[in-house]
Amino acid sequence: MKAPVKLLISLAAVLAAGWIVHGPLGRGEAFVAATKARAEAVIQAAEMDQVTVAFGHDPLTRLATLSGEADDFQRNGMGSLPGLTGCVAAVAGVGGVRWSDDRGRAPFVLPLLVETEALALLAWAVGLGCGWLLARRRRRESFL
Amino acid sequence: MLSLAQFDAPLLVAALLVGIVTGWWLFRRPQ
Repeated sequence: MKAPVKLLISLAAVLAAGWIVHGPLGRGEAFVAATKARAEAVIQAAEMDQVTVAFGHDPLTRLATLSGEADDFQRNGMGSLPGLTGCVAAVAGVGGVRWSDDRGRAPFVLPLLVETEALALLAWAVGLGCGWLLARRRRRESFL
Repeated sequence: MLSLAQFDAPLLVAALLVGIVTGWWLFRRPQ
């Protein structure tokens, strides 16, 4: 079998595994649900129950969209006091924060599937390098 | 980008192993 064919088979296997874990196995959905729960806990801790948080579901993204009544100070804070935007952005797993009534451009966040596949490909590339090292290492001729 | 800590560890390990096997398969010396 030629080298490019081997490489393509391996690449396809990694991409398929990434998609299966993300979609049919539901890990992507579970990740976003867990991130949403952490973001909601932060909002509750800030006593801003009128604000709700939602994440992109079509496609799944880590972009948190906040909606509800909040003034500029509550949203963006002042000086060293972070507003709700900063607090939610600091939650583990959140990739970006926007307000639903904000007319500005939303922060660019890749779909979760693309991020998952990119990291799987990174791990695969590291493995490829390790495999190259293993295959190319010199064999010892003797124990002496 | 997702941090590695947030990433699905079994998928990461599986991708790494597939890469190692592929690298060895591609570059092994002929006997």
